[in-house]
Amino acid sequence: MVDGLATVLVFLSAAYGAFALVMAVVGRAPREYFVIASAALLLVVLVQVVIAVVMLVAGDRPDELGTFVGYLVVALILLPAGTLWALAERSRWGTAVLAVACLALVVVVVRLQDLWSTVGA
Amino acid sequence: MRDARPTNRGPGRVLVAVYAVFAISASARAGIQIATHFDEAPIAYLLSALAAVVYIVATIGLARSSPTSRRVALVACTIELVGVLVVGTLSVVWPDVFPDATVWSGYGRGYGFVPLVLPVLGLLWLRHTASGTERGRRLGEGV
Repeated sequence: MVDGLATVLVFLSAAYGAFALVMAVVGRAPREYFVIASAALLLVVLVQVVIAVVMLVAGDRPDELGTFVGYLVVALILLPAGTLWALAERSRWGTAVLAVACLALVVVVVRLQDLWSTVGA
Repeated sequence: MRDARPTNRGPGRVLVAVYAVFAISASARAGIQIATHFDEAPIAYLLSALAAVVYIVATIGLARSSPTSRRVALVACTIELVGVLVVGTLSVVWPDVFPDATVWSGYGRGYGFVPLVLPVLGLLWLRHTASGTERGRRLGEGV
């Protein structure tokens, strides 16, 4: 984990989630640009996960290794699953699904940071 | 032909998404608890596993939206509501029984009380999407 990147990820995910929430409130169905935004954010997630895995392989160990790896997997699944589930619903509720996925991603990344803070402690 | 409305459209879309998040997190958590330190709090961890299964079943039931899956979802949401109320109360009254947290401890306090709200929303949604005839039929059967 890199604290700076994780913080950026939390910020981006929260911003995207807030945007999706606003769009849901004003009644917009998910559009093509949501797919691009999800994919871009997923790329950042992917970079973070790869870095975390490399650091794990290099020997860094958080206290709760199993939980940490579990959260890494969930972090990877959230955006693709959320976006697919959102796109099939052509109404504001589809857009709201993206907001849920983003909120969940924020929680997951914060938990990952938490768990990682035990490394070398 | 039953004409209940689908449970996986409209607001149900969001409900299924939230259920899915809880299904995944509860399963992962229970799996890790049971695999790594089951002996510390077997009751709590078995309840975690039960909660996880109930979330998975409810998610699938609401997402599939067939007449059968409606009933499955109804049962799962009911178990979930009873579970969160009973476990929540027990964990407050006898904290010793639950040395380690489950999703339902303290009425789901550790998860922003979402575990308490979710089954209520699920049951309301199932009722809302049941058509008049379907509801009448079920009432007629005494279900």
